[in-house]
Amino acid sequence: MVNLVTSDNESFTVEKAVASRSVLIKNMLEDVGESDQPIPLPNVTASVLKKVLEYCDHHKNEPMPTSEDLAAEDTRKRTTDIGEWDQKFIQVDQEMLFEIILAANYLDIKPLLDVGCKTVANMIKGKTPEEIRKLFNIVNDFTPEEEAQIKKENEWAEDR
Amino acid sequence: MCGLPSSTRRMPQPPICRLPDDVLLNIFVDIYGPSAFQEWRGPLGTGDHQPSPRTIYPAYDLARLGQVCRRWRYLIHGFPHFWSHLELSAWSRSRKPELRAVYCLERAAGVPLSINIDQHIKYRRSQQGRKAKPKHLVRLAALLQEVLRQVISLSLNMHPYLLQTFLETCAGTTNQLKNLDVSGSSVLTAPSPIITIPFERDLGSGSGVSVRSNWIPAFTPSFGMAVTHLQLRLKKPYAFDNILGVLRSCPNLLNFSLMISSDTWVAPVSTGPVSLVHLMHLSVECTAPNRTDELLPLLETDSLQSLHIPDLLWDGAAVAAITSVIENNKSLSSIRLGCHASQAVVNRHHPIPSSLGRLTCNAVTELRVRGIPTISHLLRRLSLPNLEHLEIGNVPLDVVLSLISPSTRVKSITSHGVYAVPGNIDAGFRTLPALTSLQIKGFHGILSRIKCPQLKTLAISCRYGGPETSGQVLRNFMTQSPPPLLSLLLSRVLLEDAELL
Repeated sequence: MVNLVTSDNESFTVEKAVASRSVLIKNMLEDVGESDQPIPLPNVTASVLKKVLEYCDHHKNEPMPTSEDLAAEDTRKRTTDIGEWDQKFIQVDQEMLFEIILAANYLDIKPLLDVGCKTVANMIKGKTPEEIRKLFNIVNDFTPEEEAQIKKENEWAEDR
Repeated sequence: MCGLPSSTRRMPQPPICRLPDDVLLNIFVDIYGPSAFQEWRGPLGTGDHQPSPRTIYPAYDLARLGQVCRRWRYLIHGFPHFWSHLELSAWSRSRKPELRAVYCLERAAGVPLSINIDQHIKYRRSQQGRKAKPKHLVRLAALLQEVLRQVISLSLNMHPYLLQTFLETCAGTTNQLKNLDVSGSSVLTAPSPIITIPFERDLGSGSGVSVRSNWIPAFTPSFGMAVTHLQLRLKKPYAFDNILGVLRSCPNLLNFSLMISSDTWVAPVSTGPVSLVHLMHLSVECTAPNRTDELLPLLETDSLQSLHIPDLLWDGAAVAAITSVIENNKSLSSIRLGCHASQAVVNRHHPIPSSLGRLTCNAVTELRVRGIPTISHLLRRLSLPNLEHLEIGNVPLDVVLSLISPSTRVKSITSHGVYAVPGNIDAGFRTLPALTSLQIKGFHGILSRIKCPQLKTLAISCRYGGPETSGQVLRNFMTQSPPPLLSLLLSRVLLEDAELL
C-alpha cells in the first residue's frame, strides 16, 4: 500500500497499482524503494485527489501507455470520443473539471489528462468567441483598437 | 483576461485560465488541430479523399478561437502547426482565398505545409477556351512558390488549363514534397492532356514522392527520379505511349497503380519496353478489355511483390503475359487477378494440357483469382509451397487441390463457383495443418478431399436447388476428422436439425 498526503494535509492509503497510474508517483516509488514514508502531493487537494484516485482505481488493470503509444497517438487520427464510464466520471462542475486536468497534468496521468482536455474541447466546439467567454467566464481583454485590428486581419473569414 | 503575464492581476482567475499553456494547446489540438485533417484526408491512393464539411476550413475556426482573449490569440498564433494545413476553394475572383493564404502562411513559418487548392467546377466550365490567365490563381501560385520548399503535400483540383497555368507560376524546388495530387475534370474529348510538373528536386533529398493524377504528368528529370509511388486514374482518352513515357521518367518507381475508365486510346508506337527494376507493387485496372495484356509485356520488372489486376480478359495473350510476370518476378508474394465483366464462361470442361512444366513460386503467400476455366492452364502449372491465403472462383476442383497441396501453411481458403470435372481428381486426402478459415460458395466437394485439424471457421453457402445443397459431404467431413470449430455458418445446406446439433 502507498500513503499519499494532499496539500490540505489529508492522507490517502491506496494500492500500489492504483497510485502507480501516476507516472510521477510511480517514479517516486521506484526512487525511494520499499518504504512506509508518505508521499506528499503539495499541488493536489483532498477533494481532487479523491476523484483522481477513483479514476485510477477504475483503470488500474489497463496497460500503461508506452512512449510508443503516445508517439503513435500524435500521428494517427485523434478524436474527441470519450468512453462511457469516463464520460460519467468527468460530469463535474467546471471548477472540479479544471482541477482534475491540473492534477492529471501534475501527476502525469496522460489518459486522465486526455479525458479532461477532450471534455473541454467538446464544450468549446461550435461556439462563437462570445459564447466561449460566457461559458468559461473569460474576460474580453482586447482594446477596441485591437478588436478593430483583428476584424480587419480576419476579413477573409467573413461571409464565407 | 486569461493569464497573459500581468502584474495587476487581482480578481480570482476563472478555472480555465489556470491551465498551463501546453494543456490549453492540447485542448485546441483536440478541437481543430492538424490531426483533424486525417479524418478525411486518407493516405494517397486509398480513394478515401473526400473532405467533410466540418473540417474543410479549420482556419476559420482557429481565427474564431483567437478572438476569445489575448492569451488564446497569443497561443494559437504562436503555434505554427495550426496554420500549416491550407484549404483554399479558389472558385471566384475574390481576394479572400489569397488573404487567407497570406494570413496562414505568415503564421506557419518554417513548418511543413499541406496545401489543397480546389477550383470550383462552375468556374472551370465558364473558363474553357479562354486564353487569359486568371490573375487570382496566378497570385495564389506566386504565394505558394515562395514557400514551396516547406510544402510536403500539395493537392490541386482544377481544370487542366488552369492547373498548367498554376504549376508554371509556382515552379521551383520541392525537396520536402511527399504527396502530390493533381486532379480535376473537364469536358474535353481530346486525348488526356499531359500536365507538366515543373518541380525540381535536389539529388538525395528526403524520402520519395507519391503522385496521384487523373492527367498524364510529365516530370523534370530530377523530380522523376524522386517519384516512388504513382497512381494514374485516366478518365479521358489517352495515348498509350504517354503512359510509357511517364514510367520511363520514374526509374525509382516502387508502386504503380493505373486505372483507365476510357475506352478510347491511341495505340502504342513501338518504343520498346520500360525497365522498372525497383517496382514492387503493380495494379492495373482497365474498363476496356485487352489493354492490360498489351501493357504488361511492355513493363520489364523483376522485383514485384504484389500484382493486382481485377479486370483481365482471360485470353491466350493475357495468360502469356501473366505467366511471364510470374516467371520473371521471383519475389512475388501476392497475386490478385480478376476477370473482365464482358467475359462469359463458355466452356467449363477445358482440356488439361500438361506439356508445360511446373512453375514454382516460393515467395507467393497470397493468391486471389476470380477467373474463368481458361485460367486453369496457368493455375495447374503453379506450385506454391508457401501459400497461406487462397481465394479462388470459377475453376475446377482439381485446380484448387493442386494449388493447396504443396503448402503446409495454408491458413484460409475462400472458394466460389468451383466445380467438379468427373475423373479429374485423385482419391487421396490433403491434410492442411494450418487451415483455420474455410469459406465456400457453391459446390463444397473440397470437403471430401481435405482434413483440417485446426479449422476454426467454416462457412458454406449453396445455391437453391443445386446438387451441392446435399449435406452428405459435410456430414462425412465432420465425422471423419472433426475440426475444433468455433464458428459454423451454413446457408441452404440440407441438414436435419438433430444432425446439426
